[in-house]
Amino acid sequence: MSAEEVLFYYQDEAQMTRGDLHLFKAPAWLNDRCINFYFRVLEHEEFAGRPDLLFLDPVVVSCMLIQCTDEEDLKELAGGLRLDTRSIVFIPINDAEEFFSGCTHWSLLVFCTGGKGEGKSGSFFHFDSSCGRNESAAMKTAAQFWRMFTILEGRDVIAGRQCPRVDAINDCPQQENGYDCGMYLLGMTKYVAHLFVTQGSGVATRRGSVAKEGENDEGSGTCSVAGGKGSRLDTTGLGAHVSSDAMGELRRRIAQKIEQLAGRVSP
Amino acid sequence: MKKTNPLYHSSSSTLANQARTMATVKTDTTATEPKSESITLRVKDQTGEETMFKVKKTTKMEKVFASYAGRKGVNVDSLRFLLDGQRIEKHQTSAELELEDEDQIDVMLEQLGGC
Repeated sequence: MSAEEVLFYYQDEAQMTRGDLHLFKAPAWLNDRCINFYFRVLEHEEFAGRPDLLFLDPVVVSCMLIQCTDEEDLKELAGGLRLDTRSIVFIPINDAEEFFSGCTHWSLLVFCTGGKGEGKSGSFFHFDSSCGRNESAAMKTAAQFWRMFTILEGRDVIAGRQCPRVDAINDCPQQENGYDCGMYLLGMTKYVAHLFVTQGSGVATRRGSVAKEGENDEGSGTCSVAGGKGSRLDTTGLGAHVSSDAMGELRRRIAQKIEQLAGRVSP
Repeated sequence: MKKTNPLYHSSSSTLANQARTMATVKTDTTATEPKSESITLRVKDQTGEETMFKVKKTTKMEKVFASYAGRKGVNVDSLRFLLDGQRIEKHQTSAELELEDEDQIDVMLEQLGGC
């Protein structure tokens, strides 16, 4: 059977081939389709009731970085992504910065959009399972994302405001092998989204001001992605949920899900 | 004040009439033979290079993808095609995607990561 054989289209948004399924077997590396598949599962199943959470397809991220050269392109993309309705955005980072350059590493950039109006701000948090290897790619992506975000929101509100600092999460769980970064990206996305939904509580709090620059200096490694005074999102439990063993288990669960979906759809 | 040039005036209205005629003819053709309608698509890669494809609206995108990959000498499975920031899949047609003449499709390479 060919690796290119299409097993199914998940929600008409994510194509899975037999080859992609095999990538969920360690020690294979995950590709952008694997990432996109699980992101769509998070969107449509795990966080179905929360359309304010945006899980960006890696291909859309690279499109934003490389293909969107002028403001018109960025505005169109922002509109298509309905960025104005989102409160948190999960952005997969890959170190393939140019068309033909090799890519080796995935990490997670989280953007909290903050509230509307005057108190408007935004915050970036970078979760890297390999001691900050993707730092420059994350900063570059954050800058372009911020450009897109400010274009959409209207320059009068945040005119001239510089791209917020990208806060590296110091105690981000570290992978113990040379193949799991894609899984860490998936595991951390799920866990941070879960924290945001549970700890972020009501819409009113989440719409409040988000951690301002320097606010999370004390207690380094703690990321306050939920908004509002006194409402902090504590990521210290991340290590316990995203570990080598947990990621091995998540690999098995995702592969099993793909096999189930394939069985249901194919003749 | 400058006088209106009668010659210029008449010629311009003739042109306007011609344009209208052409537009009508075009509409008629579309109405009678919708199946044969073809459009030109621009496939743009990450280096900004564009490749043009003339396709029928009923043709599956699979043909465009395979032809593009063949021209570039790469495996079609390692390419990702996007329309306005959304992935497009090989079973879709130009008509289903509501593609119009001169529309642009972006193409990107597969991304991988592990270590």
